Amino acid sequence: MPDKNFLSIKAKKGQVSEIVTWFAATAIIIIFLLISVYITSSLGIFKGDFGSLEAGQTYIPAEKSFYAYLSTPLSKEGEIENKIIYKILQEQTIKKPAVFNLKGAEADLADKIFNNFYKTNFSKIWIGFVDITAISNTPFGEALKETASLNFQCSSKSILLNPQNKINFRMDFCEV
Amino acid sequence: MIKNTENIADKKGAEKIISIYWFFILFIVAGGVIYMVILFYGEPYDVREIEANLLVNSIADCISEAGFLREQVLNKEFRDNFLEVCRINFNVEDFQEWKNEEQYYLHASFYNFDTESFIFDISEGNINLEEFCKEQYKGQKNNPVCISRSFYSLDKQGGKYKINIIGAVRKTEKNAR
Repeated sequence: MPDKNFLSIKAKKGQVSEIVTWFAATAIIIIFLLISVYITSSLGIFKGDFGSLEAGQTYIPAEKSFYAYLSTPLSKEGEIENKIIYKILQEQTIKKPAVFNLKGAEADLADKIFNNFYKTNFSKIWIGFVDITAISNTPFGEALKETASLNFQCSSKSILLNPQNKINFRMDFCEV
Repeated sequence: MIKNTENIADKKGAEKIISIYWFFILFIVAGGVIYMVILFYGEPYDVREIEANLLVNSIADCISEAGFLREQVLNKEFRDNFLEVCRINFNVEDFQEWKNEEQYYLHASFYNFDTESFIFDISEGNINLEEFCKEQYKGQKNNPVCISRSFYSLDKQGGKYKINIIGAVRKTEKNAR
Protein backbone atom coordinates (compact mmCIF):
# COMPACT_ATOMS: atom_id res chain seq x y z
CA MET A 1 0.00 0.00 0.00
CA PRO A 2 1.79 3.22 -1.13
CA ASP A 3 2.06 6.18 1.17
CA LYS A 4 -0.61 8.95 0.59
CA ASN A 5 2.11 11.67 0.67
CA PHE A 6 4.17 9.81 -1.86
CA LEU A 7 1.17 9.61 -4.21
CA SER A 8 0.41 13.34 -3.97
CA ILE A 9 4.11 14.24 -4.69
CA LYS A 10 4.01 11.97 -7.72
CA ALA A 11 0.74 13.56 -8.91
CA LYS A 12 2.20 17.06 -8.47
CA LYS A 13 5.34 16.08 -10.40
CA GLY A 14 3.12 14.72 -13.16
CA GLN A 15 1.15 17.96 -13.27
CA VAL A 16 4.32 20.09 -13.41
CA SER A 17 5.77 18.04 -16.27
CA GLU A 18 2.49 18.32 -18.16
CA ILE A 19 2.46 22.13 -17.73
CA VAL A 20 6.08 22.32 -18.94
CA THR A 21 5.11 20.31 -22.04
CA TRP A 22 2.26 22.71 -22.80
CA PHE A 23 4.50 25.74 -22.30
CA ALA A 24 7.15 24.24 -24.58
CA ALA A 25 4.53 23.48 -27.25
CA THR A 26 3.18 27.05 -27.04
CA ALA A 27 6.68 28.50 -27.28
CA ILE A 28 7.43 26.36 -30.36
CA ILE A 29 4.20 27.46 -32.05
CA ILE A 30 4.90 31.14 -31.35
CA ILE A 31 8.54 30.89 -32.52
CA PHE A 32 7.41 29.14 -35.70
CA LEU A 33 4.83 31.88 -36.26
CA LEU A 34 7.39 34.65 -35.76
CA ILE A 35 9.78 33.00 -38.24
CA SER A 36 6.92 32.78 -40.78
CA VAL A 37 6.08 36.47 -40.27
CA TYR A 38 9.75 37.39 -40.77
CA ILE A 39 9.97 35.33 -44.01
CA THR A 40 6.74 36.89 -45.30
CA SER A 41 7.95 40.43 -44.61
CA SER A 42 11.27 39.77 -46.38
CA LEU A 43 9.46 38.19 -49.37
CA GLY A 44 7.36 41.35 -49.64
CA ILE A 45 10.47 43.30 -50.70
CA PHE A 46 10.70 41.32 -53.95
CA LYS A 47 6.98 41.50 -54.65
CA GLY A 48 6.90 44.95 -56.18
CA ASP A 49 9.84 44.54 -58.54
CA PHE A 50 8.05 45.35 -61.76
CA GLY A 51 9.30 47.09 -64.83
CA SER A 52 12.67 45.42 -65.14
CA LEU A 53 13.47 43.28 -68.13
CA GLU A 54 12.01 39.78 -68.23
CA ALA A 55 13.85 36.87 -69.83
CA GLY A 56 13.16 36.68 -73.55
CA GLN A 57 11.52 40.10 -73.63
CA THR A 58 12.73 42.44 -76.37
CA TYR A 59 13.79 45.93 -75.44
CA ILE A 60 11.83 47.87 -78.08
CA PRO A 61 13.96 51.07 -78.32
CA ALA A 62 17.13 48.99 -78.77
CA GLU A 63 15.42 46.80 -81.36
CA LYS A 64 14.49 49.92 -83.35
CA SER A 65 18.08 51.18 -83.13
CA PHE A 66 19.36 47.74 -84.22
CA TYR A 67 17.31 47.73 -87.42
CA ALA A 68 18.17 51.37 -88.15
CA TYR A 69 21.86 50.63 -87.58
CA LEU A 70 21.80 47.74 -90.07
CA SER A 71 19.96 49.94 -92.62
CA THR A 72 22.44 52.83 -92.36
CA PRO A 73 24.30 53.47 -95.63
CA LEU A 74 28.07 53.91 -95.33
CA SER A 75 30.48 55.21 -97.94
CA LYS A 76 33.51 52.94 -98.37
CA GLU A 77 36.78 53.93 -99.97
CA GLY A 78 37.05 52.85 -103.61
CA GLU A 79 33.34 52.12 -103.90
CA ILE A 80 30.98 54.41 -105.82
CA GLU A 81 27.74 53.23 -104.28
CA ASN A 82 26.98 53.52 -100.54
CA LYS A 83 26.22 50.14 -99.02
CA ILE A 84 24.05 49.60 -96.00
CA ILE A 85 25.77 48.09 -92.95
CA TYR A 86 23.79 44.83 -93.29
CA LYS A 87 25.29 44.33 -96.76
CA ILE A 88 28.81 45.23 -95.59
CA LEU A 89 28.61 42.75 -92.70
CA GLN A 90 27.15 40.09 -94.99
CA GLU A 91 30.08 40.48 -97.40
CA GLN A 92 32.50 40.13 -94.49
CA THR A 93 31.07 36.68 -93.76
CA ILE A 94 31.28 35.57 -97.42
CA LYS A 95 34.92 36.69 -97.82
CA LYS A 96 37.67 34.08 -97.69
CA PRO A 97 38.85 34.14 -94.97
CA ALA A 98 35.70 35.51 -93.40
CA VAL A 99 36.01 38.50 -91.05
CA PHE A 100 33.95 38.36 -87.88
CA ASN A 101 35.26 41.49 -86.27
CA LEU A 102 33.50 44.84 -86.19
CA LYS A 103 35.84 47.52 -87.50
CA GLY A 104 35.97 50.95 -89.08
CA ALA A 105 32.88 53.10 -89.46
CA GLU A 106 30.53 50.18 -88.63
CA ALA A 107 32.20 49.70 -85.26
CA ASP A 108 32.25 53.43 -84.52
CA LEU A 109 28.55 53.83 -85.32
CA ALA A 110 27.61 50.77 -83.25
CA ASP A 111 29.59 52.16 -80.33
CA LYS A 112 28.02 55.61 -80.72
CA ILE A 113 24.48 54.23 -80.82
CA PHE A 114 24.43 51.30 -78.44
CA ASN A 115 26.98 52.28 -75.82
CA ASN A 116 25.86 55.92 -75.70
CA PHE A 117 22.12 55.30 -75.57
CA TYR A 118 21.84 52.22 -73.39
CA LYS A 119 24.87 52.09 -71.11
CA THR A 120 22.89 53.58 -68.22
CA ASN A 121 20.08 50.99 -68.49
CA PHE A 122 22.15 47.84 -69.03
CA SER A 123 25.38 46.66 -67.47
CA LYS A 124 26.39 44.59 -70.50
CA ILE A 125 25.80 45.40 -74.14
CA TRP A 126 27.10 43.14 -76.87
CA ILE A 127 26.71 43.37 -80.65
CA GLY A 128 28.39 40.96 -83.02
CA PHE A 129 28.47 37.88 -85.22
CA VAL A 130 27.10 34.56 -84.10
CA ASP A 131 28.24 31.30 -85.61
CA ILE A 132 27.35 28.32 -83.42
CA THR A 133 28.26 30.53 -80.48
CA ALA A 134 28.85 34.28 -80.29
CA ILE A 135 32.17 35.40 -81.73
CA SER A 136 33.93 38.06 -79.66
CA ASN A 137 34.90 41.31 -81.34
CA THR A 138 37.07 44.33 -80.56
CA PRO A 139 34.54 47.01 -79.60
CA PHE A 140 32.14 44.83 -77.56
CA GLY A 141 34.39 41.98 -76.38
CA GLU A 142 32.94 38.64 -75.36
CA ALA A 143 29.19 37.96 -75.33
CA LEU A 144 27.94 37.58 -71.79
CA LYS A 145 25.11 35.28 -72.79
CA GLU A 146 27.58 32.52 -73.63
CA THR A 147 30.11 33.04 -70.87
CA ALA A 148 27.75 33.15 -67.90
CA SER A 149 24.46 31.56 -67.06
CA LEU A 150 21.57 32.57 -64.82
CA ASN A 151 21.82 35.61 -62.50
CA PHE A 152 21.10 38.00 -65.34
CA GLN A 153 18.35 38.88 -67.76
CA CYS A 154 19.14 39.47 -71.42
CA SER A 155 17.13 40.94 -74.23
CA SER A 156 18.35 39.71 -77.60
CA LYS A 157 17.58 40.30 -81.22
CA SER A 158 19.29 38.59 -84.10
CA ILE A 159 19.14 38.76 -87.86
CA LEU A 160 20.33 36.17 -90.37
CA LEU A 161 23.34 37.40 -92.36
CA ASN A 162 24.52 34.33 -94.18
CA PRO A 163 22.02 31.49 -94.67
CA GLN A 164 24.62 29.10 -96.12
CA ASN A 165 26.97 29.26 -93.16
CA LYS A 166 24.15 30.01 -90.71
CA ILE A 167 25.77 33.18 -89.46
CA ASN A 168 23.66 35.67 -87.57
CA PHE A 169 24.24 39.18 -86.34
CA ARG A 170 22.99 39.64 -82.81
CA MET A 171 22.58 42.24 -80.08
CA ASP A 172 22.35 41.39 -76.38
CA PHE A 173 21.34 43.76 -73.64
CA CYS A 174 21.85 42.26 -70.21
CA GLU A 175 21.05 43.30 -66.67
CA VAL A 176 23.56 41.57 -64.45
CA MET B 1 -18.09 6.86 -4.33
CA ILE B 2 -17.41 10.52 -3.43
CA LYS B 3 -13.78 10.06 -4.58
CA ASN B 4 -14.96 8.92 -8.04
CA THR B 5 -17.29 11.93 -8.42
CA GLU B 6 -14.39 14.24 -7.46
CA ASN B 7 -12.17 12.58 -10.08
CA ILE B 8 -14.77 13.11 -12.82
CA ALA B 9 -15.21 16.76 -11.82
CA ASP B 10 -11.40 17.23 -11.86
CA LYS B 11 -11.19 15.71 -15.32
CA LYS B 12 -13.98 17.95 -16.63
CA GLY B 13 -12.21 21.04 -15.19
CA ALA B 14 -8.95 20.03 -16.84
CA GLU B 15 -10.68 19.48 -20.18
CA LYS B 16 -12.17 22.99 -19.96
CA ILE B 17 -8.73 24.49 -19.34
CA ILE B 18 -7.31 22.54 -22.28
CA SER B 19 -10.05 23.73 -24.63
CA ILE B 20 -9.45 27.34 -23.56
CA TYR B 21 -5.78 26.78 -24.28
CA TRP B 22 -6.56 25.35 -27.73
CA PHE B 23 -8.75 28.34 -28.55
CA PHE B 24 -5.94 30.64 -27.42
CA ILE B 25 -3.47 28.87 -29.76
CA LEU B 26 -6.02 28.85 -32.57
CA PHE B 27 -6.47 32.63 -32.28
CA ILE B 28 -2.72 33.22 -32.18
CA VAL B 29 -2.15 31.09 -35.31
CA ALA B 30 -5.13 32.63 -37.16
CA GLY B 31 -3.96 36.11 -36.15
CA GLY B 32 -0.47 35.29 -37.40
CA VAL B 33 -1.77 34.06 -40.76
CA ILE B 34 -3.98 37.16 -41.17
CA TYR B 35 -1.03 39.41 -40.27
CA MET B 36 1.19 37.65 -42.82
CA VAL B 37 -1.42 37.97 -45.58
CA ILE B 38 -1.85 41.70 -44.81
CA LEU B 39 1.93 42.11 -44.74
CA PHE B 40 2.32 40.51 -48.17
CA TYR B 41 -0.77 41.72 -50.00
CA GLY B 42 -1.48 44.91 -48.05
CA GLU B 43 0.76 47.09 -50.19
CA PRO B 44 -0.45 47.71 -53.73
CA TYR B 45 1.42 46.44 -56.75
CA ASP B 46 3.16 49.39 -58.35
CA VAL B 47 2.67 48.87 -62.08
CA ARG B 48 3.38 52.44 -63.17
CA GLU B 49 6.82 51.61 -64.56
CA ILE B 50 5.29 48.92 -66.78
CA GLU B 51 2.59 51.38 -67.84
CA ALA B 52 5.18 54.07 -68.66
CA ASN B 53 7.24 51.49 -70.59
CA LEU B 54 4.18 50.45 -72.60
CA LEU B 55 3.42 54.09 -73.34
CA VAL B 56 6.97 54.75 -74.54
CA ASN B 57 7.03 51.54 -76.60
CA SER B 58 3.77 52.33 -78.34
CA ILE B 59 5.06 55.82 -79.20
CA ALA B 60 8.30 54.33 -80.52
CA ASP B 61 6.25 51.88 -82.63
CA CYS B 62 4.17 54.74 -83.96
CA ILE B 63 7.18 56.88 -84.88
CA SER B 64 9.51 54.30 -86.35
CA GLU B 65 9.08 51.04 -88.22
CA ALA B 66 11.87 48.62 -89.15
CA GLY B 67 14.50 51.29 -88.51
CA PHE B 68 12.87 54.06 -90.55
CA LEU B 69 10.73 56.99 -89.46
CA ARG B 70 7.17 56.80 -90.74
CA GLU B 71 6.84 59.33 -93.55
CA GLN B 72 4.12 61.38 -91.88
CA VAL B 73 6.20 61.93 -88.70
CA LEU B 74 7.97 64.88 -90.28
CA ASN B 75 4.68 66.55 -91.23
CA LYS B 76 3.06 69.16 -89.00
CA GLU B 77 -0.29 67.35 -89.24
CA PHE B 78 1.17 64.31 -87.53
CA ARG B 79 2.47 66.42 -84.65
CA ASP B 80 -0.86 68.21 -84.23
CA ASN B 81 -2.90 64.99 -84.14
CA PHE B 82 -0.26 62.84 -82.51
CA LEU B 83 -2.54 61.02 -80.04
CA GLU B 84 -5.20 60.19 -82.62
CA VAL B 85 -2.70 59.04 -85.24
CA CYS B 86 -0.88 56.84 -82.73
CA ARG B 87 -4.17 55.61 -81.25
CA ILE B 88 -3.27 56.60 -77.72
CA ASN B 89 -5.75 57.99 -75.22
CA PHE B 90 -5.18 59.26 -71.72
CA ASN B 91 -8.56 58.18 -70.32
CA VAL B 92 -8.50 57.03 -66.71
CA GLU B 93 -11.03 55.56 -64.29
CA ASP B 94 -13.01 57.99 -62.14
CA PHE B 95 -10.99 57.69 -58.94
CA GLN B 96 -10.06 60.43 -56.47
CA GLU B 97 -10.44 63.30 -58.96
CA TRP B 98 -8.15 61.68 -61.52
CA LYS B 99 -10.45 62.99 -64.22
CA ASN B 100 -9.64 66.57 -63.20
CA GLU B 101 -5.89 66.16 -63.53
CA GLU B 102 -4.27 64.25 -66.37
CA GLN B 103 -2.39 61.21 -65.16
CA TYR B 104 -0.03 60.80 -68.12
CA TYR B 105 2.63 62.79 -69.86
CA LEU B 106 4.69 62.06 -72.94
CA HIS B 107 7.36 63.97 -74.74
CA ALA B 108 9.20 62.92 -77.91
CA SER B 109 12.20 64.99 -79.00
CA PHE B 110 13.92 64.61 -82.35
CA TYR B 111 17.64 65.43 -82.74
CA ASN B 112 20.04 65.27 -85.64
CA PHE B 113 22.15 62.20 -84.85
CA ASP B 114 25.45 63.60 -86.20
CA THR B 115 25.27 67.19 -84.93
CA GLU B 116 22.97 66.48 -81.94
CA SER B 117 21.05 69.64 -82.82
CA PHE B 118 17.38 69.80 -81.81
CA ILE B 119 14.89 69.48 -84.70
CA PHE B 120 11.38 69.37 -83.20
CA ASP B 121 9.40 67.83 -80.40
CA ILE B 122 5.94 66.53 -79.61
CA SER B 123 4.42 66.86 -76.16
CA GLU B 124 1.07 65.69 -74.75
CA GLY B 125 -0.56 65.26 -71.36
CA ASN B 126 0.12 66.77 -67.94
CA ILE B 127 3.29 68.85 -68.33
CA ASN B 128 3.67 69.14 -64.53
CA LEU B 129 4.77 65.49 -64.48
CA GLU B 130 7.93 66.33 -66.44
CA GLU B 131 9.45 67.75 -63.25
CA PHE B 132 9.53 64.21 -61.80
CA CYS B 133 11.81 62.99 -64.58
CA LYS B 134 14.73 64.73 -62.90
CA GLU B 135 17.30 62.46 -61.27
CA GLN B 136 16.51 63.71 -57.74
CA TYR B 137 12.94 62.32 -57.85
CA LYS B 138 13.78 58.88 -59.22
CA GLY B 139 13.04 55.87 -57.04
CA GLN B 140 10.78 57.79 -54.66
CA LYS B 141 7.61 55.74 -54.22
CA ASN B 142 5.15 58.56 -53.70
CA ASN B 143 6.15 60.50 -56.81
CA PRO B 144 4.94 59.91 -60.35
CA VAL B 145 7.04 57.40 -62.31
CA CYS B 146 8.96 58.72 -65.27
CA ILE B 147 11.07 56.83 -67.79
CA SER B 148 13.20 58.06 -70.64
CA ARG B 149 14.25 55.98 -73.67
CA SER B 150 16.31 56.83 -76.74
CA PHE B 151 16.66 55.19 -80.09
CA TYR B 152 18.28 55.74 -83.43
CA SER B 153 16.30 56.00 -86.64
CA LEU B 154 16.65 56.94 -90.30
CA ASP B 155 14.43 58.68 -92.80
CA LYS B 156 13.99 57.56 -96.40
CA GLN B 157 16.41 60.27 -97.58
CA GLY B 158 19.19 58.89 -95.39
CA GLY B 159 18.85 61.44 -92.60
CA LYS B 160 19.89 60.13 -89.18
CA TYR B 161 17.92 60.92 -86.04
CA LYS B 162 18.25 60.43 -82.33
CA ILE B 163 14.78 60.22 -80.79
CA ASN B 164 14.30 60.65 -77.09
CA ILE B 165 10.94 59.68 -75.57
CA ILE B 166 9.85 60.52 -72.04
CA GLY B 167 6.79 58.83 -70.55
CA ALA B 168 5.39 59.69 -67.11
CA VAL B 169 2.52 58.16 -65.13
CA ARG B 170 1.06 59.66 -61.94
CA LYS B 171 -1.66 57.39 -60.47
CA THR B 172 0.03 57.62 -57.08
CA GLU B 173 -3.10 56.89 -55.04
CA LYS B 174 -3.53 53.38 -56.42
CA ASN B 175 0.09 52.33 -56.82
CA ALA B 176 1.90 53.71 -53.79
CA ARG B 177 0.91 53.79 -50.14
